[in-house]
Amino acid sequence: MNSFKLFVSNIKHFFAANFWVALGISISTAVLTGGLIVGDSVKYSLGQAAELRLGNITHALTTGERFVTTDLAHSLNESGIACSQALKLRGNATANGGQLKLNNVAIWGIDDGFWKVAAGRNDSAVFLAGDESRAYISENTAKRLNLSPGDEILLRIEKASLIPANAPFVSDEGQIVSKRIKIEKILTIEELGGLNLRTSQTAPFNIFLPIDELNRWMELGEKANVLLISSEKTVAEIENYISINFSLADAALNIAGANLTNEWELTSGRVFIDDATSKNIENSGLETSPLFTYFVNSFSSGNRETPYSFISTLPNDRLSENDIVVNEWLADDLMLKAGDSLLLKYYTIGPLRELTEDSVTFTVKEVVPIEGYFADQGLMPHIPGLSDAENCRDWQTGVPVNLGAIRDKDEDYWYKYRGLPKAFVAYDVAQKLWKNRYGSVTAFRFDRNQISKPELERAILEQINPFELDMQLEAVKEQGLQAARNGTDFSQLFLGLSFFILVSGVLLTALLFGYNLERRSSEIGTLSSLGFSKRGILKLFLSEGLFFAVLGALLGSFLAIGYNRLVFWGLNHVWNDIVRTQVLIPKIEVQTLVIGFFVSIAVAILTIYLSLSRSLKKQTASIQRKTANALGKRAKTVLNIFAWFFLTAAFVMSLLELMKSKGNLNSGLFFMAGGMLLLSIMLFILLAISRNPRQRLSPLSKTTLAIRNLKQSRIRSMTVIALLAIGTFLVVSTGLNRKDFFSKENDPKSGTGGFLFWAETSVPLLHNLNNSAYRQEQGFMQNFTAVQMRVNDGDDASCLNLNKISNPRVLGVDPAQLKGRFSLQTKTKHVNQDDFWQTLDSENDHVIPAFADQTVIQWGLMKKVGDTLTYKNEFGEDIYLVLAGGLSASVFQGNVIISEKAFLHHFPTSNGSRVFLIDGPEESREAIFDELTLAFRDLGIQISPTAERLAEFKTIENTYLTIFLVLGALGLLIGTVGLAIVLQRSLLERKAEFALLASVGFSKRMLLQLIRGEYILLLFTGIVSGLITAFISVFPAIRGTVENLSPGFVVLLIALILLNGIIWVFVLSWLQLKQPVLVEALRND
Amino acid sequence: MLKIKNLSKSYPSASGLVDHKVLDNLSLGVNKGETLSIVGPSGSGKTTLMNIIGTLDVPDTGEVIFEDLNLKNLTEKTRPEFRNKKIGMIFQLHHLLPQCTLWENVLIPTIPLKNQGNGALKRAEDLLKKTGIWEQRFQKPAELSGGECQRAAVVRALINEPSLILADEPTGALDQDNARNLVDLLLELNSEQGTSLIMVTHAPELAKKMNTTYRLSKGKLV
Repeated sequence: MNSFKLFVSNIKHFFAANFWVALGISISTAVLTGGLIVGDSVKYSLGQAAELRLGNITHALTTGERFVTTDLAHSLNESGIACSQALKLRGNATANGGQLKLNNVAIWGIDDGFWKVAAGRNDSAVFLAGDESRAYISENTAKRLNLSPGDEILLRIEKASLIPANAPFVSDEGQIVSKRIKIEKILTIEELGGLNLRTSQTAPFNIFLPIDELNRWMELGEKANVLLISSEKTVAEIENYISINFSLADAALNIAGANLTNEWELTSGRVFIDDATSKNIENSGLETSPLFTYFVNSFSSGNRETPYSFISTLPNDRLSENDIVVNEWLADDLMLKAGDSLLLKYYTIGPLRELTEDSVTFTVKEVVPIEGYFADQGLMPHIPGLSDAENCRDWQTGVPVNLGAIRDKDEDYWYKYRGLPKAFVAYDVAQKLWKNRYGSVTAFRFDRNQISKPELERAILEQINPFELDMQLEAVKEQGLQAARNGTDFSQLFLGLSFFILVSGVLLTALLFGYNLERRSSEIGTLSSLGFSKRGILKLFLSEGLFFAVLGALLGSFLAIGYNRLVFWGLNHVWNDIVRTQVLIPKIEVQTLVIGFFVSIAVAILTIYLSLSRSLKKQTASIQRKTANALGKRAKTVLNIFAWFFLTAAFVMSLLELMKSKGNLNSGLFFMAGGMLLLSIMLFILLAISRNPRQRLSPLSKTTLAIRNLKQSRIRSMTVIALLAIGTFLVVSTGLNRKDFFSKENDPKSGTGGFLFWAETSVPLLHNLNNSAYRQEQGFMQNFTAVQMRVNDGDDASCLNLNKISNPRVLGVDPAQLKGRFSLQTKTKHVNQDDFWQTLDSENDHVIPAFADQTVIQWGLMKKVGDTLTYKNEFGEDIYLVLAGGLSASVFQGNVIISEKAFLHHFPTSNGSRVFLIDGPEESREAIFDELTLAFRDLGIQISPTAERLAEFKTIENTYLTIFLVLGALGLLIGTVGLAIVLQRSLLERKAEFALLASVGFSKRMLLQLIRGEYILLLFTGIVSGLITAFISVFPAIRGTVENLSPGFVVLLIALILLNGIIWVFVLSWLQLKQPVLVEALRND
Repeated sequence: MLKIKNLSKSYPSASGLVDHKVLDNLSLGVNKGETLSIVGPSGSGKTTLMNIIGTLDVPDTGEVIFEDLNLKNLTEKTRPEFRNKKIGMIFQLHHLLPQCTLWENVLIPTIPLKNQGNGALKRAEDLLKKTGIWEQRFQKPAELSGGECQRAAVVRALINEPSLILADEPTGALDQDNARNLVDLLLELNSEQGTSLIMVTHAPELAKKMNTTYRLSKGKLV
């Protein structure tokens, strides 16, 4: 016989008993490794999603509201950078005779270069030429619209134009282009059907058309607004290539000879030359005279008035501030001469086409003949709807024109001179009066004698930085993969969610191993008496433990794969809300299995070691007798201190929060307080059951006897109580935090802001919905108000996106319109709680205060209040959005909100608004819905009740909580299995005790009562402790102003757990006492 | 007080084929206050006889009449009550509950009584004092010696003032001195309380201290 043989014989002999220990270990391993595998799989799936949504595309140049020529892509290709141009527009699609409608469709104009660059393919995917417009659509689009190849759909596409839609005097007519297209092919996500430049695992609804055709529909020529690049070069290198190959046409600039002067004229296809370019040209040293031509409502002098005319500029040195030069025609019309006053009325155009008529008076300095510079019709910029109108009555100006005021002589002037300016003011004066966010120069003129056209072109190009023109080059693939790597960590999440099962598994292992040790206590004694050292015994038992730990961990690794499959089944079916992707692929990394395997073994060995050393200590103690099972005085004092500390901390935290908070209680803090209270209660129970019986000569009752029995197995009793208490605490607190909605949706402080609807349009609305004239024009009958928000597209940062987001969508809103609405959960100290929205107006240079939902800040952005998000504004400058406050769960989830003022300052050419909050009388809810749906059908409006939108986000939160709840309940179930094991083992151990009790006259009924009482007391103590503390933790939800609680499920769950425990207690005790009497146990041998 | 008539009891043998007759047509009479000892080799059926008298087991045939009550007539329900009130049992191992103090241990048989009253407490105090373990009343069995524990078991057996004490090798786990003292104590208490005593023992010198001594052999008392 040697140690190894003894080890082998022990393994064989105690295999059955230790196998249960291995099973306990396998539970922990399965949960631990399973959680890690889930994390790996989600991370892998997100990475795959990034690969699938981008194909070979590594970088993307987006041009905002601008367009570049398709030549840029060709030049880049010639420079060795694989690049494909695309025209990406927003729209909506209807199918089946209008019965099926899909908003927010991404319409991609692409050519065969796209397949080469994005898919590395030279074959097939070229669009068929033919009479009919043909398109490829993504699988999800086909599914939503129930489409098959050959079907037709109607597309409504936002009209793309070089000129910003809200630029002054540009008509808003024809904002939508409608086309019927035939479906040629349905693209799977593997075929780039899910093309998406935004970081999201959710595929957008894509429709692909030939770029030429889309350009034709938009009357753009050969333009693109996205360049898709596949290159290993860095962003800086590619930016350099873009800058080198950038042409004036890419900046919508054009140089042509002026009509009547010997000058080159630089004009913009966008009417106004943007300020960045203007400033650079003015500061370039080039000799130039800038021009600013504007459309005015009238010139008047005395009672004479000339309607609707253009006015232009002269160099500043030719006119003083009050001077105006008029042409002969105007002088004749108004009978003007030098020195006369001239009143000029004009519109200034605010956001959302809000017109303000202003006026200014000048003194006529000179009357000039219509010749030379003053006869140059080229002074009027090309404005579609105006420039090409045959007569004044055909004008489409984008501002109201009183056709009745137009006289025949005005028509004659238009016919003869077109938009020739009738008056001229100093350039600086014009800038001061009419400068707008699209620019303050309509043309630059250069002396042809001083510079040739190519020289001028080069000189101007040197002044243009494409990346100051709202163009952004992003390493989309790298960003996508990084966002996937840093996204929601499902390993942590599931380990967190399964934590209780993990703890249950460990405790179960400890319990089972402890029992086995107790059964073998005599063996330990024998070995000890035979001269085995404590270390030797420890080594022997630890080797056995290690054997079974390895066995359990091996088994657990297989179970982990099963657990992973189960979780994935849940994620793909019942819990799909939280992943929202079709590409959830299980990924089992050997490394993860190995980590899980060894960590589990380490945990198991530690657990076994603790049980073993405790058992060996107990052996010694029992020899010394007096200290058996007693808790030392010092230990008691320490436990007491901790118990009181946690109790005090829990109450102080709760009280302070109750006193301090003015509404929303911090739920995290109460959860912590509940947890501390639970700890405190557990310690008090431990102290209570460790207390020596009182030295009192009192009668002995059944209850006292039951309590004495529980005290006898202090650790076992505590284990069961703790398992049940923690389980109940987690299940109840998560269960009660699940939210139902629709209760207080009208409360302005709630997450709905008290608004009726949240609406989004695919195509921006250029007008102010609250403007009565506009409403009248649209025929709105209902009384509603709207908060309109401008949008700078970004990634979805709501809980629907699992990737780590750094630049969520930015909404620009007028803070005054939200006063008194919504509430803040967290804020920086600079924010005034009572009117927090006003904080948004305090922009400081490039530092912009912003709000976002607290959940978005915390989980989507993984930041905290006070942190900064960096964006690029339209001019390519970095702007810093400081997260000044976190909103309590609201309909804004996924967005960052800044003030409209700051928004327009940094994104001046933004076109109208695409997001709306609508309020109105509750009784008109349906009528408002119908009216808006009908009015903005073409804009692809999607209206949802705010409560419904909020509920959708809460569904995600609830899904997480449900998983937690289900896994918690599973853990709790294991806890009751622990109770069952404790019960079974105790009953076996206490056979002699029951026999003794029978011998002194306890009936079987009394024995059953005693046993059941003891264990039901454990069950209740655990569950009640968990319940009490859980109620503290969900106090904010109970007192909450917004949501209802959903206690039904929790009550059912607790009832089931209780019932499960009671059944175990009843069945096992009945089985144990089934025999008539337990006389065998009293036998003398 | 106790009449046993033609008592027989068999157990299946280890092979299960043949029944092993432990008690064979055994008869015995015990008067009130009488003390008797039963001796015999291991496996002779002494404990079986004690268990049948103590209603922990039932005979195959024969009758046990206790104070005019045929124990056959006891039901599952009334048997524990009978045992609680009429019988006090002492075993070789004290079987004190480790979780209870001595005081609590001796009071365990009072739990099934509907009305414990102060009588039991007073008796417990008297008996503990008489048995010399009053000072240890708040101590747990683990803190006491074997002799002290066995004396507590005696008090526990006497607490409900039973008519009959069944002591099954009560001194088996004690040294000679302690064994002698315990038997003397039992006899003293027995005479004081007028209780009958049946004691199973292997020790002839202790057996001799009883009024009558029987040897159990081949299932019969001789």
